[in-house]
Amino acid sequence: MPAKNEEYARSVPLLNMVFALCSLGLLLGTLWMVWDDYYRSWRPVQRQFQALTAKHTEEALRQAEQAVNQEELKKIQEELQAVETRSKEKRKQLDELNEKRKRNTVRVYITDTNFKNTKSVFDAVRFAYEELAHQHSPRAAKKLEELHEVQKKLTEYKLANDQALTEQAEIKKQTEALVGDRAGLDMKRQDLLAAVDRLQKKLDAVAPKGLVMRAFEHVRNAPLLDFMAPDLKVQQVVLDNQNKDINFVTIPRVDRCQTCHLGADQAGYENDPQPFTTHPQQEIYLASKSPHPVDKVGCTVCHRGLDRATDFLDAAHWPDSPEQQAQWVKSHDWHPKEHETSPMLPSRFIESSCLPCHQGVVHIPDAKKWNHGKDLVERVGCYGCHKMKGFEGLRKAGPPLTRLTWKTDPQWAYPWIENPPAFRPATWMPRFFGLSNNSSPADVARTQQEIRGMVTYLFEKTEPGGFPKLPGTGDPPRGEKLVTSVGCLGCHAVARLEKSPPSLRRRFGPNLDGIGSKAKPEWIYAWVKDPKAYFPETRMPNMRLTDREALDITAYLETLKAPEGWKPGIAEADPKLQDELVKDQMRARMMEEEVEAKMASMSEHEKELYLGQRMITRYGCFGCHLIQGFETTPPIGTELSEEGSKEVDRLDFGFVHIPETRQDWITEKLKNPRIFDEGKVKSPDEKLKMPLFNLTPEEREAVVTVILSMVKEKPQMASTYLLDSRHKALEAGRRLVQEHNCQGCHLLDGEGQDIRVTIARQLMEEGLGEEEADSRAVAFSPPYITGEGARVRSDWLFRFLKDPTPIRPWLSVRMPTFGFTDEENNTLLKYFTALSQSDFPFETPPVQPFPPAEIAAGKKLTSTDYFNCFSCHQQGARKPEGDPSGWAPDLALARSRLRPAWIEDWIKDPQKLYPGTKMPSYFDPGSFETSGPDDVLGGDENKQIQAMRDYLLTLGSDRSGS
Amino acid sequence: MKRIGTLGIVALICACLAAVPALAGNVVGKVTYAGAAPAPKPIPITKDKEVCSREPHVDESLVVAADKGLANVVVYIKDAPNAPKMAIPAKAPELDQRSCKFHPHVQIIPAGGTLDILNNDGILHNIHTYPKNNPPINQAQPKFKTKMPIKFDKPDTIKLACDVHTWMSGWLIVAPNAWYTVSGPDGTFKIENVAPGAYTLSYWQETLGTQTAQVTVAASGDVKADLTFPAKK
Ligand SMILES: [Cu+2]
Repeated sequence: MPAKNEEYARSVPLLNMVFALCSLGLLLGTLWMVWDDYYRSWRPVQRQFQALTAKHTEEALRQAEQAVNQEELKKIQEELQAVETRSKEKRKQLDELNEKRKRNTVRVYITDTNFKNTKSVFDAVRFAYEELAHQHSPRAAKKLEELHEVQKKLTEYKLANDQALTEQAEIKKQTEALVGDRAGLDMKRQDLLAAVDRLQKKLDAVAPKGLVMRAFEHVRNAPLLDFMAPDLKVQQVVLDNQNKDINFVTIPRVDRCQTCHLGADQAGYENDPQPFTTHPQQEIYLASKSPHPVDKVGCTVCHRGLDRATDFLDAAHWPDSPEQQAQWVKSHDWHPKEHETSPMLPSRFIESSCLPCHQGVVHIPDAKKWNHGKDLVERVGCYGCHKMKGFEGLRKAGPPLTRLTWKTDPQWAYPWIENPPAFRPATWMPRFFGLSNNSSPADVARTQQEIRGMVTYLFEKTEPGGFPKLPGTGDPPRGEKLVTSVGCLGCHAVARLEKSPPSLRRRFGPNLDGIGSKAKPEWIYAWVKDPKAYFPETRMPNMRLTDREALDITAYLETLKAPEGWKPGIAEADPKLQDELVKDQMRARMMEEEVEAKMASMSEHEKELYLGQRMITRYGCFGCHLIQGFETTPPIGTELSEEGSKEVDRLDFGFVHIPETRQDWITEKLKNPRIFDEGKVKSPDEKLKMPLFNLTPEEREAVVTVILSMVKEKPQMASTYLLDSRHKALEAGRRLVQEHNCQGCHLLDGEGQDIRVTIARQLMEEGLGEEEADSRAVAFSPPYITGEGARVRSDWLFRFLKDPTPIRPWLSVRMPTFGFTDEENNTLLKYFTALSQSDFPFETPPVQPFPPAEIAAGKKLTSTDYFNCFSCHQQGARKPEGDPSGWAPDLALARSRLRPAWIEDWIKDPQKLYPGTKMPSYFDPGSFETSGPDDVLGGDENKQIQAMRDYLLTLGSDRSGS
Repeated sequence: MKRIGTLGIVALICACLAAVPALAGNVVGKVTYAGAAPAPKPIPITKDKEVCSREPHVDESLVVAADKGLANVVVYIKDAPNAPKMAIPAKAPELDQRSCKFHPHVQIIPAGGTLDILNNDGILHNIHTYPKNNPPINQAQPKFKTKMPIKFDKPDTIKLACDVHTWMSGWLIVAPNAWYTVSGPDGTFKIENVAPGAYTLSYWQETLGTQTAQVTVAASGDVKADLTFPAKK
């Protein structure tokens, strides 16, 4: 018989034990999970921020309290106290009045309601009567009677209501007389304490006082309970129009940066440490009214890093400097985040984030460093070897080498190619030889033969011909005077004339140092007279020099010689080495027997030519220069259009120990383009060949900013900066302004007139003090033309741009002839009018005959007895007395040249339109009403100005001034 | 406690000093030019000849008397924080443009004061200033505006010019305090009522620049300071 006790496969007590342990484990696991989920690094950060806000609010509260007029507050409080006391003393009378007031309130209500009701009845009856009367109905008389009836009632009610209101006022007055004006005093007190109350409320919210409130704070932020209404929580903006590409799928960005950066979009945390600091330039960034509101743009679109992260390391912060890095290592145990393809941008490169949204503009507003970098890329010509989006269609950065024999000789070209800065330290031409991977004796011997080959090739493949002999001899001092005065220095610099490094715009054209050792005098003469004859695509304009002037300038430029120690000449030929180099090149392209056969068939000269052609191909000279035989060769460099998104592991860091980021790699590459060859075994042809550009560390940083800005990711249309037609016209004009360096001479769009420093320098050499020289230089520089669209008429400007004629007789500097096409001219016209927000394109000059009396008054005002305009201004053939340097523009041109509205503004306050102009102020903006003469046009200044304007418009004929 | 006592006594002394007429001396002397006196260079009058030629015009940028005395030198005490403010006179100082020439050629006016610019020539002038500290002025003064008051707030050395008559040249010194003077045609000058003490005397001439000399002023009487400009290179 089986026993009654049941059988179990396992021991029950043991199982109980196991289950108990398991559930305990599960409980602990759950608790640990909850805790781990709850305890995040951002929580203490938010607590800190609350404390900080409380501190600021307390501070503000204290200040607000101090700002309160204590005396007045005390007075009001005393009065209130008095009201209180009196109310108690005169309890009985007050009660009576209160009783009266209650009754009166009822009366006011009733009478008011009666009046309003009756008024609506009255309006209805009146309407009915008017209708009937209009229709001549017999019932009209009856209706009129009714109307009178209602009107009588209305008057009665009005009277009753008025009485009730009078009584109300009376009761109020009696009460006030009895105890005082409590309501008024309360109001005054509230006004006085408004700021304090507001801050107190804010303080109560951020730093609750009292046990209950504090306990509540803890409960609502407690684990598991914090799903309801915690005040510590992840702050995020979901940016569904700023998608993020995570390989094969795009997801919206969710920026959680403000979970810790709590003060970023709030004023008042400017001086607090990170992560709480207010973002700089709120008017541009983050603020809801700024162009980059945080709820639309977020943070990581510009700063990069991991959008969803809520932890310092996880977000992929990246230090801006070694000091910051050391600090972060200490505070956050910082180290580069593994496998993060898009860590944050160090702040010094932040402007590289602007471009994706700001496409198609010449310069990005406020992005100084990026703009500088872009100008530099155009100047040094990176786009010649590297395809770069946004830099397509630009002219080659260097001059054409197709007529080299017309300009210089091989003796100069050889050392120049070998080491450009040795000849001209400030040149844009980069250096290819004598760098870290080609400086060994064997390398030098080899490169000497390579350069020989290139020189031979370049001087062989040149158009036959040359320039004729000079028609005379020039005078160098007169030439120097011309170079420093006609405007050459707006685009060129000459080291011996400079006191401080010239600006980028003054390095637009080549630095002229050493030109006398470089170019033949015949070439210089022909070039300065007509640059486009030698180089049709040149940006150098025609200065309309006379033969005499061109000769003088040539004579001066010939005195600018190479630096001491620099020697012209070519390295010795080494036929054996050359053969080897030629063979090496051939072997890469043909079979050994073919090489031998080819070599046997070639002369020394042919071998030299072949080597030269191969080397020009290798170094990519044609990226910047037009060279015969290379007209259509594609550029040799890596495309940079998406360099800012390139995976870091695709960059070859070699054996160089630098932080593995794009910015560090590119910076290093620009600093020493051959550095990543260090420690590698390479054949000459495999070696890195990017040349070394002459850039300062600041310039390098600007260029790196531009390269980093060229990314793959395209922002959605909705978030890009779209150009309307006015801005399109502006950008097209800016492109031309940039290409012709207009701002080297003119102040335009808020920038430029770089030539002014050279004019001030000139004036100081003539003996003027610094202040006077600086001040006069404004008037003696090419004019400000930001307001040109409002100043001159489009048809005049069109003709002027085609064929400039001097307007300002006191200027030595000349407006050159740029040879603009009609299309370019129109682009510039649209640009100027868009800039001034004036009408485009043309307007009729005022044609109606002006009232003779007005013209007479205008004439009188311009005469010697009044404003004496013609003391300085020319009037057609009538010239002022004295030296032309003291004259002013021809007023006979006003009609065809100037816009009438501008003439008025100009006479009224010339300094406002053109600070520093030579034109003196006749009317005082401070006391305009009394600053004109009293005996013309009744002393009305506005009428006087209009009369002068109209008189000026009658001068000259329609066709003058072309 | 003790310090407060000392302070009190110092304050008391100061108060007494302020109350009684201050002890003061004068700095007197003559400025000379070491170089050869330049021959007076006549200025060609190219405009408004009838009016402007009423007076002879010679270059006034360096006027040296027969005994080398140098006119139009501004002599002042440098770094004088306790110098009294230059009093603003009831009648504003005047700058006359008579016959297209600034009269006087160099003038000192108090900071915060007004200068009346006169034009009785009956033609257009235009006052154009080249200041360091004050706002620049380029104001036309036609025939009908015979007097134009202009206020100068900040201490300054201001070049004056007229763009209508390019030869017109003058200087305006806006003085921060009373210890400023300008030398007469014979080169003599006098700075009055200077508190006793050792000072650096600065003297400035428009083409020769600034020189300095040391001077110690006694409680009363004149202290002599003869100043020299080295010859211009
Ligand atoms: Cu004048």
